[in-house]
Amino acid sequence: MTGGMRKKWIRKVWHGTAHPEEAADHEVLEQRMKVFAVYALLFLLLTVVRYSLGFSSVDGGVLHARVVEALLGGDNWGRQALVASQEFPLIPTVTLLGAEVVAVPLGLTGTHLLVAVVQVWTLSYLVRLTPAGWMARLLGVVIVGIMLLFPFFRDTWAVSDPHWVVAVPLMAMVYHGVCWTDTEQLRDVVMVGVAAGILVFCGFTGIFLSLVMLALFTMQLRHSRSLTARDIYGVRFVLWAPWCYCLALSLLLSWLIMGDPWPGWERLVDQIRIVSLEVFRQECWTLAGALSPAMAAAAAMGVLTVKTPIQKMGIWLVTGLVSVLVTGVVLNSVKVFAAGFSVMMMILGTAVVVLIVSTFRWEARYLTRTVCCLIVLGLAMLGTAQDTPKWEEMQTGVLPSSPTASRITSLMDRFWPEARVVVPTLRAATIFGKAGQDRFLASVDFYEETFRDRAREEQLFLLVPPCNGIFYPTDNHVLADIHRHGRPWLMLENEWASGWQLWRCVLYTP
Amino acid sequence: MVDKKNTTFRRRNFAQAEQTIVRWQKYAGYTLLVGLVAAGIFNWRIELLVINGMITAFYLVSSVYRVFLIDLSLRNWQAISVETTELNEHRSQWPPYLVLVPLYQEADVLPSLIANLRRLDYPRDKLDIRLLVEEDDDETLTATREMALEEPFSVVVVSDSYPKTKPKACNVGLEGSDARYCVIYDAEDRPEPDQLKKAVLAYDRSPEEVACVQAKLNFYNPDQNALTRCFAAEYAMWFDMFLPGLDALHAPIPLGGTSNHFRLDVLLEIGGWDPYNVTEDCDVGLRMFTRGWRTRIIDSTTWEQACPSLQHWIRQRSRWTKGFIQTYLVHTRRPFRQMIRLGISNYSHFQLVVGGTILCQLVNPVYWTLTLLWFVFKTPLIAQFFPGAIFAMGVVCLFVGNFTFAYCSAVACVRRGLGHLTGYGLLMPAYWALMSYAAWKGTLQLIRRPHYWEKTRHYAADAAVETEGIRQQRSNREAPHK
Repeated sequence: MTGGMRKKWIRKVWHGTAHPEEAADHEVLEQRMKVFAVYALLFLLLTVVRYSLGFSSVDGGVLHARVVEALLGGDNWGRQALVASQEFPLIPTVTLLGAEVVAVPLGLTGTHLLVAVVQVWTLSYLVRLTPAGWMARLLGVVIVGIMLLFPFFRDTWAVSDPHWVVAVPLMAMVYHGVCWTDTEQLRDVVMVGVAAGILVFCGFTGIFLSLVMLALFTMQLRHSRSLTARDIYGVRFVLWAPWCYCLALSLLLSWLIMGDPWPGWERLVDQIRIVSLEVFRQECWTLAGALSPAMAAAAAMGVLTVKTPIQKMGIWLVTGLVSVLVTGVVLNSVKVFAAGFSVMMMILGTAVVVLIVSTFRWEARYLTRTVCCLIVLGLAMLGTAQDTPKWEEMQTGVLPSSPTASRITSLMDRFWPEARVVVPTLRAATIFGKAGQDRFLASVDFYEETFRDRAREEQLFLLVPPCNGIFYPTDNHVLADIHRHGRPWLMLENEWASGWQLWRCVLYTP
Repeated sequence: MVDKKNTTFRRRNFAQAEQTIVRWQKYAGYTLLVGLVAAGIFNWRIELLVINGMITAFYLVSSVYRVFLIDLSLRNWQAISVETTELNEHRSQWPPYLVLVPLYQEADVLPSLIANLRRLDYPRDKLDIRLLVEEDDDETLTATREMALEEPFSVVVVSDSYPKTKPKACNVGLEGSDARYCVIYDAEDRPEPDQLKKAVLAYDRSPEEVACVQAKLNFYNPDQNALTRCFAAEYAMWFDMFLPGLDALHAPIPLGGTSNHFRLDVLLEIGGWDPYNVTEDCDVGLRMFTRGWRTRIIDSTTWEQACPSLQHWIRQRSRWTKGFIQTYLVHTRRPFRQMIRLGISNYSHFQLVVGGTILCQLVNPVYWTLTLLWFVFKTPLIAQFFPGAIFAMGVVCLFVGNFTFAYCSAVACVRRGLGHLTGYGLLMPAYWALMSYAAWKGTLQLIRRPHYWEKTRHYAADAAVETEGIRQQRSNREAPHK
């Protein structure tokens, strides 16, 4: 069969015999498919290139991978971790799960594959923020390259962290928000709303960022050229409905699996309650100081957009950037891991620069502003080059040291070889969840009453993690209280230098 | 007055719904039933697990497909748009146009109908408006006589014979016409006055293979009650988002009940409407596509009356489902031949649009009940039919799918200019429950009275309150013609 005949045959099979083979719409559809195929190939190629460039590992990524392992293994604590943690939230976990399913048969690493795909996707969004045309798009790529000279951005770009997934909804929101100001198409509002909704499942940083950006976007609707008052009501609904629904859904899922809608939020509230103002202020100062040059640059660029066509978007993005910084600094200061913080900082920072510089560069009258932007960017780069703090190191530790599983079982086996040990909290579950499912009962939550009921039926131990604010709040928490004071029905079997405690429950009578 | 009383109804040259299922379909049904019973005796748990898996997967595919269509319509709006200013620039001569208006027990709405049709902006000498009145409908016949209608109106009396359906009346109405184009309006319709001219220009701009131009439908009384609000939201989604998505893919389009502007020669060539099919519009759209003709969507609206009575709404909706099933069965009588004619792509569209709509409406109550039972009682019996992947798909359909469609209804309302109705998107699940009830009613009726036409009651203008915003919209679009 010749090529032409094969093509005809494929057309017949696909489009049917009812319509002429040479119909114009077939050509149009096939043309579109070809364009799509070219983009898909380019995407694949860039993903392969990014994958082969390598990644640096971070604790958060390792921990996330263990949650996914637990989910794939059908462990209950995996399901609990999926819905009950704002630090290792649902969207990164679910997408990592999908990536693992695809990557493992191909002999790849799920996290690396996910990050590579997301970064290429993000790049495509960043490039499309520029004005149309090949030169402008190329300039976009160059600017992204320049931004990677910032040590903070370069480090973030290199990490193998599933939280990178937040970049996609965030860039979708930014890109469609920018498009809306230009064309005012309904689809852009829908995409902004949906992306904001997805960000709700990306942890506290995502929730607060989307809240701020949606609020500002809604306020800017008043200046719309095409919307009537009646339309604005509907557009507001379209913008906010996904956000509200996703928030309600996250609480519902948590309630369904944990029996409590608030566990992720309670952690934040507990931490805020116990933190001292002095420590909080000091932490904030240190963390914010590390990012001040980049922030100052972003703010300066925001100012440069005044009285330009991108003024509204400049203000929108810089406000988003500030809200991420504030959220991240506050969360980390109260020892709550700000999921996806560094990725969001990097993406918004890069988006601000790409949008502003490429737009200014393309209009000759903004030559002075272009030069100003480049100077500000250069100064910021010099500022960060002096001191290159590793943001990941400054964040709350996520994968602390722990005793080995074999050491714990050997302690139990001395007199109670059939006994099992309950391992509460998410981080402890990630460490011991796979250590021998028959001996280690990992659980994200811990209820004293439930533990005692169970301990009356079998010999149980309780492995209490260190009371250092990483696993649970250091005050007003049942585990903190046990760690300090024990319980009349618990006997301390061993305590490690790192702060881990192994308690034996004495309620069981054989 | 043209009297068609003695016109005999002729058999047509295409598969009709006169016989609901043909012999092989009957035997296939029996075989399936026996197979299901046998499998159930062998191991009912595995059988239910497999069925559940298949339905859940279909649900997921169907949901993704619909979202894809909606996204296409949002990003790739391909309706043929004709500006009012262009109407008289491009043509000085207009072709003869036949307007068919089937009426049954519509004496109440007749005055407003005539007023609306008189507002059509089209040369009177080129217009032939035929009111198709059933022979036994004395009330409407008397009302038409009392109105002493002049040209271009005429009354065609449709003989009282079986089946007593709208498509049969329309077939009678076609006879003896030399028009180039033909359109159907319902008794309560308020087409935009320039719609006929826009349709003609749309044909001028379309390739030869386009044989039908479908105008968009929406309601002039959406704010009458909660039912009409939800109905308006659903219509907005169907005509403003779903059909344009199909149009963008050049897929077969199930036509709406009115405001489809046909090329008369093509309509006659394909045999007109199936008189036994109670959604003849859907059938004729598919049949035209199968014969190599296409439908396009035009950016002009016909304002209809949303049925404000739950009882009559269920009657209307059950007829639609019954007709969809009839259409599905007729078009799958020769499945392989149909697949060859349509191709894999269009055959999949047909299965997902027609088959998927029916299946989802019928199966929804089962899954809602299971979900409710699981939430309330946490029954392990239910959990065992949702292992791993099926559970994941089910969760996506439940939490993502349902919200997505309710949300899309809200988006469609904004697009249609009914922004104030967006909140009613949240009520859509209750509306879907009503749709499922009606779907089951229609399915059962298909067995007992397959050709019975459940008449939609139309209310006189004062009973169906026009929404202020809609009046403004209509006025804006009709302004040049006042």
